[in-house]
Amino acid sequence: MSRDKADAFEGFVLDCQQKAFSVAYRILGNVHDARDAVQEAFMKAFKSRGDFRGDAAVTTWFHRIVINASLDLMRRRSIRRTVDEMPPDRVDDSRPGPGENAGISETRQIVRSAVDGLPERQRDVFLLRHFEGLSVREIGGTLGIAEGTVKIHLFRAVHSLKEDLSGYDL
Amino acid sequence: MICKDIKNLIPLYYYEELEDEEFAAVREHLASCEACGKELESVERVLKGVTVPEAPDFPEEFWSQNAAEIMRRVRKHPVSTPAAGRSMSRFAIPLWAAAAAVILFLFIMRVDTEPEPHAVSEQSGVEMPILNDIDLEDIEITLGIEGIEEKIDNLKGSPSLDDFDSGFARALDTIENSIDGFFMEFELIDPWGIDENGSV
Repeated sequence: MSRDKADAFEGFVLDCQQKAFSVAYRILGNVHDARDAVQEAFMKAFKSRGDFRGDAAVTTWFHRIVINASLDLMRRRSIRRTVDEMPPDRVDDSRPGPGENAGISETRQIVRSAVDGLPERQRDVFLLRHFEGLSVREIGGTLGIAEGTVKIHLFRAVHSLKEDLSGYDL
Repeated sequence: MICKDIKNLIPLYYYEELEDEEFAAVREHLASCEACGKELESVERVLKGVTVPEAPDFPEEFWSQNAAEIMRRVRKHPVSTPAAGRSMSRFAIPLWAAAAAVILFLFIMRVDTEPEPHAVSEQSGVEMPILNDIDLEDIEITLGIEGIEEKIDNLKGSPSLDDFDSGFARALDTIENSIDGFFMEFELIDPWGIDENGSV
């Protein structure tokens, strides 16, 4: 790669990595996976930079890449947990990573488990609405589904969480 | 609006995702219906308890290392076409000659250069077939979902089971969402299904 291209992209990485990490962390809930998702997002952005049409701000374009990379990783993580036990050398996702508060309350863990336990699409919609603050329309655009479908998933996700968490003192 | 309809709309009311008229109708109903008011309270209590996780504060060193790791991967990416006007490296002539020699050798030896039909999955370490042919009829797509053919085309020749799993899962997601969306549209109109006259 030419030095100019690499230097230019490095500037982009330095400018955007912290915000990207925050987005990934909100979706994935732990440092390890957030770092993986952010790295994946930057690689995707680099490979597809020629596809950027300029019809939205670069930050908006990259924000969507980070969201999709995070949701993809969450999906792979769920499949791995279902089909295969986590490899023994992989740190348990629920344990605090470097810099995380080791005193995360049990209630917060219960809440996070309830969210992570939602059916995949309901979980994706709920995460994007509740944690990322995207509108129904934006969620539909990001996930490639109709707004009506987003609303149904959101209603079901909230209903499930209400059922699962109503007995806890939140 | 009846209570059954209001309860379905409470999550959207909480997130302010209703059209103005619907929002006003729900608010008016909630003002006078104790049961629906309690339903809203329970939804609010749960959703306010789902706190948005904030990323920890990391020192500058963490971000430097993170950026360095990202750039290490980026710089490994295949080199793009050299800019016009650059002079050839002093190693280019021997490499060119070596490449020509390899091609000539392969031609003479008639080595089969077709890609191996299998590849080892990075995830499981198991040798898996590369998908070069996917019969859409096997998937029994009956709703004529747009884009599914393109999505599946993108899987052809994928050497990695990770790519296959991720891509195929996304393709199936598309089918499922379309199917769900097809029936969910009916649910939105009538949450309890099509009425006794078969009308929506």
